[in-house]
Amino acid sequence: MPGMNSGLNPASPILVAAFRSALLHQALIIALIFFLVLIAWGATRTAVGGQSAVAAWREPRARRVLRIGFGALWLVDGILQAQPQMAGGLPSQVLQPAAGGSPSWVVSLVNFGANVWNYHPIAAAASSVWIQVGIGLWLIFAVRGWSLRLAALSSVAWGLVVWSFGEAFGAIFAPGLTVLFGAPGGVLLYVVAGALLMLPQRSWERPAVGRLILGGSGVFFLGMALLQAWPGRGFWQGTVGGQPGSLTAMVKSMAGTPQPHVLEVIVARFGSFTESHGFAVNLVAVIALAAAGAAFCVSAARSDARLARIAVTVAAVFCLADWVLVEDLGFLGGLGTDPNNMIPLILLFTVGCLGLTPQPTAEPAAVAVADEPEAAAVAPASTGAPPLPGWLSGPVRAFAGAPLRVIAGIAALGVIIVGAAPMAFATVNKTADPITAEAIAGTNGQLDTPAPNFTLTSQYGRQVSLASLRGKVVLLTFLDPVCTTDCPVIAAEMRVADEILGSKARDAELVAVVANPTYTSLAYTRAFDLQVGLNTVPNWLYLTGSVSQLASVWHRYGIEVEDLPAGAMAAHNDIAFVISAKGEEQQEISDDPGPGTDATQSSFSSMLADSVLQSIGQNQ
Amino acid sequence: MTTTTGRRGSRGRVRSSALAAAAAAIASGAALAGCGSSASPPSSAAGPPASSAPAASSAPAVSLATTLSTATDSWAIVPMSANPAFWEVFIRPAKSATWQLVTPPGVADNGGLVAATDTESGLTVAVRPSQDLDFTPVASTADAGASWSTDGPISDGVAASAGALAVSGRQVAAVLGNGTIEASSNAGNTWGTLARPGTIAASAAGQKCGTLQVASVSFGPIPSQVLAAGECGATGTAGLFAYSAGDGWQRVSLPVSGQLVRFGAGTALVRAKAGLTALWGDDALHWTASAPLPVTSAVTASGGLAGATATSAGGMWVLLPGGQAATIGGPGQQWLLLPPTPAHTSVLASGPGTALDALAVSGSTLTVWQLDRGSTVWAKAQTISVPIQLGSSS
Repeated sequence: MPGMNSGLNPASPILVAAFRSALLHQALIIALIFFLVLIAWGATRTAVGGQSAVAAWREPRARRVLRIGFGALWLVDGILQAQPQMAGGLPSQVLQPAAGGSPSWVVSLVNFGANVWNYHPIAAAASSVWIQVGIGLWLIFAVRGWSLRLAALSSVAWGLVVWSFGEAFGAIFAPGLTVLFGAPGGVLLYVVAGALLMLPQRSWERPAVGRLILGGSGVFFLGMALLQAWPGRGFWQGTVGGQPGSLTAMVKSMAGTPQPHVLEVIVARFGSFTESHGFAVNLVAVIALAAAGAAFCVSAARSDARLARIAVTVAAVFCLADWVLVEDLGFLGGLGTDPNNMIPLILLFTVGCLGLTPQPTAEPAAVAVADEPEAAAVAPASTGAPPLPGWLSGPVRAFAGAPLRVIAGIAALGVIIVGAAPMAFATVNKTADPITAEAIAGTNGQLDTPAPNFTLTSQYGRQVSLASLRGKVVLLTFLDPVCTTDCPVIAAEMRVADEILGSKARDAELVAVVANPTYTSLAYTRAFDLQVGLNTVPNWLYLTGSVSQLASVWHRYGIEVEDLPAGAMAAHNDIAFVISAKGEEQQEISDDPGPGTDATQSSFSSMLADSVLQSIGQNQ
Repeated sequence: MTTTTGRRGSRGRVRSSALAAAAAAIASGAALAGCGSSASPPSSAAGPPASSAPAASSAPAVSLATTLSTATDSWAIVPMSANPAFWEVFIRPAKSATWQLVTPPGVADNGGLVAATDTESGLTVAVRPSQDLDFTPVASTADAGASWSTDGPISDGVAASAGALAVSGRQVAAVLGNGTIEASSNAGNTWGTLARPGTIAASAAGQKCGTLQVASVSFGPIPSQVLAAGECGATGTAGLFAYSAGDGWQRVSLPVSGQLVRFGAGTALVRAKAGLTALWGDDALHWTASAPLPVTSAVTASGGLAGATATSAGGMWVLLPGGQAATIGGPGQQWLLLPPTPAHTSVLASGPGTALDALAVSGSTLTVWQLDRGSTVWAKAQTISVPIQLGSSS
């Protein structure tokens, strides 16, 4: 899947340190936001004399469970996103496996998301953390009114982003779809929860919502039971032709992931049991799904709370068993980003059960309050403070009179903004973060020695010496004109680096010396330039000479060039030097392009441009 | 795996992926050679096991694996290893009984090699581009591969056809992948376009042919005369056209009608209804046909054999599925069916004296089997372990 594998080692210390640093910086900003909001609230209350009304209002129980439950799930997901290897590992270890087996259009979509991530791995990873933490906090603190609806809307919106780009639509378009493995994607249930939380409050005061949730859960479970029972999908056999059946393979693969020993033993034993009793295990799964589905449907149709409680209990036990034995808690092993689908499912049908028997939400006197009681809850007291302009008076008094949870909700919105802003920037910025190149190549070596001079022939047939380029920063590298792999990529990276330099390019010269003992003629440097589009770059020089001239330059710059036998490409080091306008070597950069994906190429271009700009800046 | 250290030795990470890969490849290559040796059939009176599979190791390799003969030397172009294949050039000088590895250095040749000889002892090789290389490097040798010099590159990839390159003195012609014919009069230093795709079909001579899919070029008796051969779109039969500056493109009629299998300097191989027919050009316009070899199966590889004398027209060989092979010595001679070729035979070539060599490839080992005139048994004559640099092109 091109684009998903950035070629990065997710455990790269450079990447991990940058991710931690970004999280720390943003955490400080967030702490500052909380602090400022609290200060502003306290000051306003003192000045205006705000006081929260003691509203005799109680949130519908079902909605409270849904809100806090999914808020907590978002918080957990956000914390999981903060795993050190997430920045470099999410595309290859999460997105790629999620999209495996899906149709090409799904792979393309996921690939697009992976590409955006790979261009800006630190910004994307940090953004994901804060957006999810922010949504979680907002849901927990926003009890009602516009604040809750906005929080729920953000849950829907971000959930859809994660479900499509991150979960490949929960693999619902891939073969082997089963609720036991995570279908239809845990995050889709967050979307459903968000949509339910956007319903007007009065909806929750009637059994209709509970019936809707239970009925929907029932239909879903029945559908999943039918799918699980469908023959020919490999679920009825523990082994198929000597190979593990679908369920066995899943359980065994989960047992092989890093996890606590106790859990590993339990999952491995269940895998062995499934292997030998595949039919029985699937039969139990089909019966449990069908029974729970039917019971949900009947209890919804009859508003039968007792039957619903029994069904919820049975289904919850089944879901928990699947969560532990098949899904391995969803997030263990590798880079788990959420607890998978079973916990959200349990939450949803439990909420449905609670919704069947709504309780009064307010004392009789307060029932008449409109569906948006947030503003009505404010009852500022006059303190004799200076009068405010009319247009400002309302919002300020509302702010002063808001309870602390509302203030916390506002701060949570700040958390989301802190996360979303870099993500938005990353999406539109076509130049990749140089951190990827640094992670691949290692940090640049800082030098301070005179660059050895040389005189060679340019692609235009003119003699060019390094000394003649004084006054300009020189980015010098060594390229094989008939190289089939790295050199065209490095050359393309240099061309893009020149574009990034913009007007500063006039202060720089991009120079390559031929690194091939055989193909040294001008015709080959020109053919190479044409191939990589450098023939129109005015500050590009591709220098060559006799083999002895070239060998002298290679030697003095520590470049090893060697013809290899038997149809192999010539070998040489991939190194670039930044030479200051005064002729001093300042940096030695490994420009081995790694996997040469769009993201890594762009990242190397950024790194090269940054290095040149740094040198230009030092000379000014 | 080793790393090379930068000039100051301060940065161990300063490395060459290719150098490191090469070191790893030497180790793995040695392992491969070992496997090849143990798997090779023993040299015994019973002879080698017959081929049970197509000769060449991979499908794309089939059309390019070939041999060429000059007045003095025999050249062989064979793919070795696989995924990717490394193409190798071997030579057996006229006065030598053994083959030597002389692959031109400095460029990855995983895309395949297309070679052409002049009447002299030299060989010119076009290296088909692979991976991120777009143009075709060209190298030539005039001293039996002891040293190579580079000619100017061809601006695009040459066609995947053993006859896509032709040399005559300083004249060079090449067919590109899209059917364009490029020509150079200064040994490849500068190139000009002789015919774009459709040019020949649009000419008066090409109208009965329809769209000509040019696959091969050669030079006529006069070096300025270029011959282009391919498949006529209208009929699917061989179409041969001659170009000269004064006359433009003229169609050359062949004595047999059928599919073109091979076209080279003064020789052609056509599959007609009656079987495989070898053709020799008396000049550009007049061709002599052999009696057909009555086979219907596809030819997996073909090539040229040395003539009976330095000046006489050379022969041809074909490899057929199932280890079958046949040769023909020259004009006026008959096809000769050979004993089943050794396993993994890639090409046949003129051996020392009147013998015939079969070059068999297994991994990075080339085994030369020899068939003496009148014998029915291939005898192992030589084994060459080729230092394939696995991983050097990735």
